[in-house]
Amino acid sequence: MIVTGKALPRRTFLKGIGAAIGLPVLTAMTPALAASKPSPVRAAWFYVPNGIDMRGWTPPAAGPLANLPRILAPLEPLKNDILVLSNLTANWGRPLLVGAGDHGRAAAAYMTGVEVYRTAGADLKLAVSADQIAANAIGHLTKLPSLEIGLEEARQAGNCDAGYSCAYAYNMAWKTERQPLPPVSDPRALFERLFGTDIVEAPAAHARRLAMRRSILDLVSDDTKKLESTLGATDRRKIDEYLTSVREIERQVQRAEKEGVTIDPGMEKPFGIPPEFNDYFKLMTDMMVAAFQADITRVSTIMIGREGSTRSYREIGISDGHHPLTHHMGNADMLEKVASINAFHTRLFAEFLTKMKATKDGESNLLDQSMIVYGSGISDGNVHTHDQLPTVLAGRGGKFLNPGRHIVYQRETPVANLFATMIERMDVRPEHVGDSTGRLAGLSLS
Amino acid sequence: MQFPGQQKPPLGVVYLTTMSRPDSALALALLHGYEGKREARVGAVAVIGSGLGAAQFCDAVGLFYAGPGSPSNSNRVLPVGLAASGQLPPDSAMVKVAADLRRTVNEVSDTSEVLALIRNALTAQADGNVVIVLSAAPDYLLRELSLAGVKQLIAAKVKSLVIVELPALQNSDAMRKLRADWPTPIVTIDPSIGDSVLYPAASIEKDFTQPHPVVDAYRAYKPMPYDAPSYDMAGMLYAIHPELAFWSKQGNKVVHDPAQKDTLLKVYIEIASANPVLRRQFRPQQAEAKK
Repeated sequence: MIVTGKALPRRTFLKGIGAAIGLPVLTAMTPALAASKPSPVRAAWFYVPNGIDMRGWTPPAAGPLANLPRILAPLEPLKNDILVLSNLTANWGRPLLVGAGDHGRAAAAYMTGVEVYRTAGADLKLAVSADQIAANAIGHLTKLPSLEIGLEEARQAGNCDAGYSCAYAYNMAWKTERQPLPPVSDPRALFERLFGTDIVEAPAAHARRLAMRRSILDLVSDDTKKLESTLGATDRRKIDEYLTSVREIERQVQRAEKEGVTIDPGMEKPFGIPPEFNDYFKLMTDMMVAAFQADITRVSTIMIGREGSTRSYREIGISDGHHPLTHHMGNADMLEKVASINAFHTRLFAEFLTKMKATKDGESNLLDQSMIVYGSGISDGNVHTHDQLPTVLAGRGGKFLNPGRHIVYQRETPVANLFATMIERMDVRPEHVGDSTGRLAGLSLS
Repeated sequence: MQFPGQQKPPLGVVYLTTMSRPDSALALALLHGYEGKREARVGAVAVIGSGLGAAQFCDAVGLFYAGPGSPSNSNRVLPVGLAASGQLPPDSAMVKVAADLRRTVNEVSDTSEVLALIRNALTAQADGNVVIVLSAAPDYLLRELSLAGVKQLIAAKVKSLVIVELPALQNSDAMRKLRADWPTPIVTIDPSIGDSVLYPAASIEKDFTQPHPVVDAYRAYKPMPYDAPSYDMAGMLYAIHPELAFWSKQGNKVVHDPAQKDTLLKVYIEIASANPVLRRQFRPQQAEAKK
């Protein structure tokens, strides 16, 4: 930790061997912040696989959000913090001249807005995804340029759908046209990515600490004490709250390792994922919140499931696979299960947003400083449509968005127009994002 | 993307229209008539320079030719486009007939954004197998050319741009720029064809199945009987069948042989008044996936 002058730099870390923990905005940083820029804007994309039962999603009319339909209902307490955007399209998810493979294309086309080159081999070809256009431009400002999270183990090779590589279905973030950024699905790996350093503990010490279930906070305790001695009571309390939340995340990781399902016993690090999907979702998104709070990154993506996911949701009494259920052919029982899964996902998303809103960020809160997309590259999973996509945009993007409304655009409007508008708000001005035709109007009142 | 051995689908037609005159309604009927004969297919229809009613009318015509039953993904093309920036002009009496017709377009958000519509339509067509018929202001096509990758897309997909010469539009700077920047051949339909080959009111009364949205529009345009100039019909027919014997070129303009006027008129009537044939969607054969 280096403190220069009277103001504490925004990028202050509590360091120890094997640990570097960023900090939330402190009063002691305020002079430095005031002299430079206001709190940064963050962006995240939540990708839902297999589309949505749109009958339970789309509000009946444009304008102020009234009673939300069933699948959006968990967002009711947050309806003044979200925009529901209708009629956006991901054209390159469509069969066009190629034919089958909608799940193989959908996630990849959604974030890049380009044709997904059909191959099951290593000769992948796509484009830089919207999040990575932002990360490439502003990633140097934070410890991590971006954070890729997945709630399903990521396969990178093999044929996942009609000749499309699994790399397309499992990755939504693409660093280059040939290089996906695989999402981290292992809680321990994510935790260490956020709070670890390149300088690692000696293997024996690392193993001993994990075995004793001691905390990463122990590694930074000297630095913590040193910093706290220079701070006022308010900042000490903020640090204490933040480190408590980090510790709580770490406990969840440890609990999962003890009780959870081991997903790859061949790996060196001990890890596991919580057996309950909602615990898993919470653990991973808590880490996203912590990362945003400490300005570890400003850009994140999370795949709630890989496109075409067959996960079952026994927590809510559904033992059938998600993807097979979405091919319901109008069967009422299957439709009901699809809607239940969709509503379950939005409930978990609402809990994440609530946490974002409750997390202070300077004079504001994290949600107000963020733009969070929740959506899918497929609308109707039964017949694989890629227009009229389900899209929620949460947050205010730092006094940019004017939420609380349902906006219905003209059809065929590229979803890439939304992404281009978002990253422009982050002071990144690409000529285009994939097949964008312009910026999306009407998100703010100005 | 092309695959060897795949059967080439019928010519795709993108029609950019004001939908403000009887000949534009009849040109749309001509396009659907050829689709029924599997000699063309509707790539996209976009209304430029007119109001919502014009888009509603195009939508109603599309539904009429798609046949009875609810619209579904298997028998619908992309939603009708509407250039909707700024104040939309009031609807003409001709397109107001759509108010009483079966349609899916009720408000602007039911129409497509024109730039994305044209580009997306091209991505669904085989290489060199599209003709764009322009009978409206050229601004949107010019903007289309400025989108990333679209000029190359047009060069790959579009066989030719057929411009229906309308005096109000020909001398604009935008039209000159479009002609200069367009990457594929341009054909101009001389207005002399539309002026001299008039669609007969008698055909409207006796050749069409009744009720018919194009007949309704024709009747609503002005009191019957009247014969209508055929500007857009000439453009549409040339776009689909440029090989017909009654066409000839004068410089870079297409004119017709006056001696074959009756033959031309016969084609107009036969195709425009053809009964609807249930639309079949082109389905690509599954290409061999690369291992």
